[in-house]
Amino acid sequence: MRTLTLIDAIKEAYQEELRRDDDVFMVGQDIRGGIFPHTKGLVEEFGSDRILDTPIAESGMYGVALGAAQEGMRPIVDFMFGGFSYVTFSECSVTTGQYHFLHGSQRALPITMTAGVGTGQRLANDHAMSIHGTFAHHPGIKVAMPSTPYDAKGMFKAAIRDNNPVMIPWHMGIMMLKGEVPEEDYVVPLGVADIKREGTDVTVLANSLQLQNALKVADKLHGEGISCEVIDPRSFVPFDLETVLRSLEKTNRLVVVDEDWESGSFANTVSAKVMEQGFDLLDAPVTRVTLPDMPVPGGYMEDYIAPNVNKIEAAIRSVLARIAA
Amino acid sequence: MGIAYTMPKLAMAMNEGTINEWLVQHGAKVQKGQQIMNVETEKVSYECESPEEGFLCIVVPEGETVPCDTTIAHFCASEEEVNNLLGENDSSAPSPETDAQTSESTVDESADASATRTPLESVVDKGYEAGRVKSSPVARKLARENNLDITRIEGTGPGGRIIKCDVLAAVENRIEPSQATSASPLAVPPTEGTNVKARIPIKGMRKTIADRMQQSLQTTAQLSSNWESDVTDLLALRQRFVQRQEQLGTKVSVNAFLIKAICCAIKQVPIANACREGDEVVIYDSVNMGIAIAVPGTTEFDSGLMVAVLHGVERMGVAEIDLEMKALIGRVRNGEARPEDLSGSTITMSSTAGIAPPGMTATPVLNLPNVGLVGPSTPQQKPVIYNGEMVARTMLPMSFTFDHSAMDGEPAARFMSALHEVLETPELMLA
Repeated sequence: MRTLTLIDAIKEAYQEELRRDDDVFMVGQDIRGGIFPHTKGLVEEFGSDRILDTPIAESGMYGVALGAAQEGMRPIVDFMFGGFSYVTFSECSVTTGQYHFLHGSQRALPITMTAGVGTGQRLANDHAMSIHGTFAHHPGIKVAMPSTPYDAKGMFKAAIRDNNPVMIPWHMGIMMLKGEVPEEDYVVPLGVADIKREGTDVTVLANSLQLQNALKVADKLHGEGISCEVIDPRSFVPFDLETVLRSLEKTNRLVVVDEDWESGSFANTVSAKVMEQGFDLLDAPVTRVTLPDMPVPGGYMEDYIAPNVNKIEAAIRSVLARIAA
Repeated sequence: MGIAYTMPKLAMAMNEGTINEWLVQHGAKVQKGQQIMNVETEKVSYECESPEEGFLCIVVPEGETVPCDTTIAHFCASEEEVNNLLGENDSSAPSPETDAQTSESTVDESADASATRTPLESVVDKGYEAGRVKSSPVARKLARENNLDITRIEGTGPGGRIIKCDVLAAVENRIEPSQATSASPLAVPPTEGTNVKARIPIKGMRKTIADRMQQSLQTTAQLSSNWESDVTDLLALRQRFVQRQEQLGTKVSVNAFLIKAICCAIKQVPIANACREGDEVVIYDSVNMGIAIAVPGTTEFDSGLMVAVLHGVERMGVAEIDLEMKALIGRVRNGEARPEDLSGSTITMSSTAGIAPPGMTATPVLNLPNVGLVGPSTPQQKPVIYNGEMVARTMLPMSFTFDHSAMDGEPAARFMSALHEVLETPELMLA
């Protein structure tokens, strides 16, 4: 099968959905020029009516999408960097999430939001932060993030076709990750976790760049006879807890890797849910690998706070720890 | 350790780089800003300047491709340090993380520590809290399910926490290991001039059998009683079933009749169908018949032993017992046993019929936790007084092994009598 980079897989999802449905259009800042290559060249095929550039004014940009979606269009909003979605947070999270409820479940709001997120580029602060945890905190919005090019194409298509608002960021640390992507039309449903590697000793829940890191650690520990089951949640809302609990029946140990600040993170939600619904399955405390509660610093300092293979390995070893008998 | 030099990330989309050429020799002194390496990415090649001053210790040789941030060299303070480093790094390059942290002590490591919660350290530091047994949820659940007193299990988790594998080990041993078993009472084995035919490792199934048999003899007050039953009529009855083999779907075996007879006797003396579980003797309503079966051993000279369990036999007729038993034994012999096929017996039958010499009496070892074991052997024709005349009848040697700590001679003897009566008068199976 042919291989694509993650960013090109996302672009293919846009192209196929823009061709399939005339109601789909994109709005963002400098998406015609293509700061990131997932929108590059789209304006040539789909024209400037469907690939809209706006000034640097997120509230106005998102307002376009919100109004269009209320009238039945299916906008894709590109915030470029995830941190900038917070400029219009009241509209894109609070209002958007509550819209369907406030209208007596009568009105859908089929907006897809995306943005580059995460560490690995040493860009600092709002250019390097994660947003999935914050959006997952506010009810009414589906939140997902792909970890492979295959998932990227299928999940973006699922997001665009979903009648709920969906926030689906992509991680800049794996934008050039290559993988097999079918040419045909397919959808990866939101809300279904994926076991990326089967194992028996410890379950590692990780996503996007951290999933790739977790797989590297699993490879390394395999040589020592430690068998890691690596699960990609793929979606944070809705979250497929069942797959994790089923895995824990076998492994009894859970490490959650979440590239987000520790406090109020998705990792905390998982940890709490597992303790409530899977307490009798646990043989060790659920252990988290997250960012400490401090802004993401720029340059090489990023390496000290971001989750990485060493921290993931340390966490896995801690849940497997035994004293000498 | 020196300062780590990692594969630089020269462009946003650069994930890995190839070292085309080291522009300085291994061990040579380099200045900050001096060109030290030519590196190639997917698109371009760069001459890289040294970010530090020091003696260069090369870790990754020319021509190799490594991911960004992999340690490719160290800047050392002296040539001696270069040599020391080489010795340490024979097999694996130090990770950039560890290295950077040890060399750049100004970096606050607390951020790192808070990001990765390691319960191990915090618990171990506090030491073991006397009086409170630490155990994981799954360990407690397993102990509960196996009727184990968790306070008697030694924990090997962080801070002495009892974890799953500790409970599983305790289940395997059932009780705490006794101290006396370590000294070997065996004679010194012959050495020179004695050829060894085979060596059978005491592990796997052999180990399990060895442990269980030892445990059975050491932890119960078991004894065996023997008698003979006249099974002439029972065998004749069985022949009538064999003649109807097609109609019944199976050639009903003698064992199926024996199991049925045991069920009838249990109905009269229920305590024979029981298990020792912790501080209790648990008598069961349903009869789960453990059937000892021989399986191949590790060599052609030895054998293995498994107890297959036929659940709920008290509800079955002899044909159904026979069908189910044959299917069960097939699964066990083919390694397709389901978990319930090998556990949950409430009484055991261990037959040596056909293998043992006719008339042999035996004292089989109890299959824990069952408190009773019925051991039929090979029948033989014998002259007996029958209806006042001496005639040849087929006599089946029987044994019943029971745990006197659970069951006294009185119910045990009644059970044997009940079984004897059913075997001699098979019509009673209809009762």
